[in-house]
Amino acid sequence: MSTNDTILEKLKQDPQFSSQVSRWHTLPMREGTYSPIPDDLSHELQGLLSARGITRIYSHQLAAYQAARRGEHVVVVTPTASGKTLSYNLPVVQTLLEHPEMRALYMFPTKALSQDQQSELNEIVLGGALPLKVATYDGDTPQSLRVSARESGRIVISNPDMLHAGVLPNHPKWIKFLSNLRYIVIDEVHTYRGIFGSHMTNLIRRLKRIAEFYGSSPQFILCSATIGNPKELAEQIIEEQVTLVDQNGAPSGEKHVVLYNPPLVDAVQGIRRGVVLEAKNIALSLLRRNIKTIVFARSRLRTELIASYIKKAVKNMYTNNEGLRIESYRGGYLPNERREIEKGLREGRIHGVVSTNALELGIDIGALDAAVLAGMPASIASIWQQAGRAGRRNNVSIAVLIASAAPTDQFLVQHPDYFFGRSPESAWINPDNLYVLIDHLKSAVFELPFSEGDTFGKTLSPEEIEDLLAYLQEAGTLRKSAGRWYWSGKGYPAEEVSLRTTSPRSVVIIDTTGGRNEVIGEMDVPSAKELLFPNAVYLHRDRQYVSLELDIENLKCYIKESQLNYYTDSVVKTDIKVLEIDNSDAYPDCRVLSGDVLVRSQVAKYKKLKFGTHENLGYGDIHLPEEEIHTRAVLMAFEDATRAAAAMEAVNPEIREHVIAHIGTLIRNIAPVFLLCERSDIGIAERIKDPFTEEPTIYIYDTAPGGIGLSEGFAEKRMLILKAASEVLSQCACEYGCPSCIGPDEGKTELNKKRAVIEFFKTWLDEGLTAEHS
Amino acid sequence: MAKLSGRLQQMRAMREAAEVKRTVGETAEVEGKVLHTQEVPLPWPGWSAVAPYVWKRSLTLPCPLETQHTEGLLLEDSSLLPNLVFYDFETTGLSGGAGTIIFLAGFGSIKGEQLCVEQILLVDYPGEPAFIRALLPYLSSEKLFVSYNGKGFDRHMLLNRLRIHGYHTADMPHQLDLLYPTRKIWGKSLKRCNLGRIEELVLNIHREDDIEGAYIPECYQEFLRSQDDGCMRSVVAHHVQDIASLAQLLFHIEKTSVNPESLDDEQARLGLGLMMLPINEARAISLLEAELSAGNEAAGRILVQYYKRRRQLTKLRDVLARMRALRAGYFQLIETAKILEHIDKQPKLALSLIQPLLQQRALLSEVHFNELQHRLRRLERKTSVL
Ligand SMILES: [Zn+2]
Repeated sequence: MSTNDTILEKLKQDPQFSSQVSRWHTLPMREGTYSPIPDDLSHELQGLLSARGITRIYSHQLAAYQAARRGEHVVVVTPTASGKTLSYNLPVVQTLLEHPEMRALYMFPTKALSQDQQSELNEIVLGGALPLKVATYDGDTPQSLRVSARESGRIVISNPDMLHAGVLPNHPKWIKFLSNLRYIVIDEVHTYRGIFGSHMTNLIRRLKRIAEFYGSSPQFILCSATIGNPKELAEQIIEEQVTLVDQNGAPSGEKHVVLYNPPLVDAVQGIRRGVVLEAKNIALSLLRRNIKTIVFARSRLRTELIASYIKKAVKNMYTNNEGLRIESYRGGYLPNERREIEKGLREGRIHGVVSTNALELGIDIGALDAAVLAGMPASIASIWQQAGRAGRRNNVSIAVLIASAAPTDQFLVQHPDYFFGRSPESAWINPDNLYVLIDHLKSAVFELPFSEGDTFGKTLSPEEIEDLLAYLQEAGTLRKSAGRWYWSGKGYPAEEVSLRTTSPRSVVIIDTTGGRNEVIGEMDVPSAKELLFPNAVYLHRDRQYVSLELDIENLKCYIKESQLNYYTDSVVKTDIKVLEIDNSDAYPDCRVLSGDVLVRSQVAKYKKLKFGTHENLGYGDIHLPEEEIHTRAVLMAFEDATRAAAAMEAVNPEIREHVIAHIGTLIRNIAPVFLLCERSDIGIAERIKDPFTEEPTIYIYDTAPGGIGLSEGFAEKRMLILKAASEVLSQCACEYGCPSCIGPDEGKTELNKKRAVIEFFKTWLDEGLTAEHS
Repeated sequence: MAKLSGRLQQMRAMREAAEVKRTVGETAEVEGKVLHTQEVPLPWPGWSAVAPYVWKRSLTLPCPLETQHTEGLLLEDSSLLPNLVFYDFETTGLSGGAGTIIFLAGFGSIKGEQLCVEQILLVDYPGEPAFIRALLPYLSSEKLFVSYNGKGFDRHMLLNRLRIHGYHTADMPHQLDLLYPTRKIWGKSLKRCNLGRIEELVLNIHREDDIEGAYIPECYQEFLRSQDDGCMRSVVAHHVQDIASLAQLLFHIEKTSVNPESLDDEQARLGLGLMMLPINEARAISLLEAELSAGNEAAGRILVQYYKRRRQLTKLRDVLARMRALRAGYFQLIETAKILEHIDKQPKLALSLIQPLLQQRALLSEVHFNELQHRLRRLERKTSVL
């Protein structure tokens, strides 16, 4: 405890460091609030806890236990190191011990997390030889183990994708499990937001429907990281009243949160030292003082770079690398590599890790003393979650948040009050998004026919459900006969629907050095085009490779080891091509068009950057097919004789391009609240002269391939959203723009762009809503 | 949620617009309204309605006694004949899952010189509970259910439907799936072993105007939609033939097991031998021995493995000698060398036997070559010590 104290004191007094700190914020140490182990816990379980050294539990664990045992649905808000798993394992294991026929389903958003969970549960369950079989059922479960998981798994660990396409459509095979389903645990519930969350609610609707068919009505225990609305989100996901447990009883040591802006290297142009080198230096100074450190980087490339720089700095065969072991961690490593790193961190054999946000989620890596954020993640909630990875119960910890050159980062570091005053974002979902709903309704009918008057979820009336079923009947997917709807389509509806927008295809990376033919990792296709194009330098843990061939068709990439003095960074260009406009309305404020678009991104060039100095050594060309998404979009064209055109006319030509870009940022900030989606569910593009409309134009499009109704929703609620945007803008306290409104101003002109955008909106929305709402 | 119906209207309009685009020129008869449940037509001649939406018929096909071979291979003896049920289902989809149902079930049993086939047809979804109930009398655990891929598909379909309708599935009939023996015998020579190919190429059955299995689900939907039963009648006829073929195939396999020379394909005879080995050793061994005598080395290889496992040394030596007489091939030389080295303790003889293999190097795979070198080195070591 004291060692860290003195180290932090030294850091504070280091003029080089402290002069770059815009705020040094200290969160005081907090004592734990404990409760005795509940006395209705079985002897076996009590014995097991004491064997693990647990003689009392935290107050929130008890609160969760008691609520669950009262039969209430519970959501537990669980910061890192608050003993989350015990919050649900205690009531579940206890109930299953009391009732030998009962079963539980644990759901984790990713496979990696469920594997982690299984090892934890096995420790509790097998460690004490409790008569409970724990089984994982996911895409990696071999066929030979699946039957026994279904038949005898008392706790089955799975993920939403498997439930959607594997379990529910085959529910008769799960009859034993489903008819005895007592508990459903949903961990990391905060990740089910936006379209993904909307899918999740519908998936739970289907699960509850099938459970009811088999005579069970499971109780839910959910866990969430700190977000703005955990209870509301949990209630939306499971459509039940939920008891909120958010009084964290775990103790925590004193925490220092430091906002750090890298020093200027060119004061005239305002250029600061890069975040990669700065993160390396800070992490090194912590590691060398024997402080266990995690560094979060914003990309895979930066993760590898920072890790390799740190390793290089401590490399010394005589001192065994100063006794320090540092690893990098990201998606795309082989599962056993990842497990090994996680274990090394937990057991303290690894002293430092550089990671993408892959370690932001609940993977158990034990406690660390310091977190260094090399650039700010996109949300306040994520910043706090990454910062929260450092912190032990009784020890002082520190999180250094390094601002990158990005305007948002610069704004945050320069306005600490704004940062510390903002609460974590809320999660929005819209379970009744028509596209999502219809997809799941199809699966639901496949799983069990619908009768007239049947419901699906709690927000829709039976009449609305009937309307939807009639729609599917007209399309020939369902057949109605004697008052019931039956599945009459071909095949297997769940197979056609992916719960995630990300591409499921991934490229296998094959090392061919010296005649080897060894798979060393994998990568999704869009990222592979950015990181594994031919001649790309590919960094993977301790090794450097060069890509020989990227075979997208066969999903293979061949690489071999290399010893180059540079790394490569590709430049991605995105553009939008209008395919077909099916609706075009001239409103007084602007023309609104909707239709199909092709969002294309191309990696056409790459830079060679020298290791260490990041000096640009030249460019290369990349010849790869474009990444295309065919989707739906709404266009707002500032056509002649509309108010938007007049508003644009009034803007100083010098900043017109900036103004339209800022309007785009503002819409991106406001629209998700109205569309009940995630920021990343919609894309926004602004053009000062659009090649299609030949006018200044703002595109709002669905990022899900094929579109998922968000751009249509935008068209419908357009006036509401623009009006709210204007209101937020005029009420925002900032002077020149901030992340909450139009985004920080990055230009160097005297003209105040925030003022210009306010003026623009005044003219644009001048006539109010009444004139055009017909 | 007032918005929902508005959005739905939009989606409808979009879909209709797309449909109109697709059917330009045709008389686009887009009836917006839902087709209401039609009258279920009366049963076809020869069929009777056993419950609402459930029809049934029985028919008898000739099955002369002299064709009913039981030779103790898949069927112990003819006393089992009355217990056999040849069964097959037609379903609304081919990929299974809770939304796929059985709409046509057929059960064939042997009565004297006849094959009695009973077919039960579900003419619309609401009859499914009654349809399933109508199947129950057939599902006695004393019966032996004979199928083609029943273990892989029909059985699972049946279990799914029974469970969904709340029945216990503990005491189910035993299964004899003819796909496995068929694949073993004819798989190598016919490549694909779907029942249609087996009928054509093995049983000499040639169907006329038959419907292809893959179209059957669509055909059923068409029948439900339009009540046009033309297509369904061919499904029902197809299905009867499927069941008749099962009986023929079973007896054909039985007969072939004592008559292997009727197989004019060497690979099929070998396949039969392999297939019989675990269930009727004596018959399998005599077939393989005969094959070896006829010069089939592959049969020898199977016999070598077999005698090795049984530690029948004399037989083993004999088979190897006959194989070497055919050809000085890698397998027989190496296997003989193993005996010479480990049992007869004659490393010199072993060495001189396999040394010539080095000259065949070009013919050997890398694995075999490495193995050979390894063995030679060891034998050389042993002989030099001596
Ligand atoms: Zn602002």
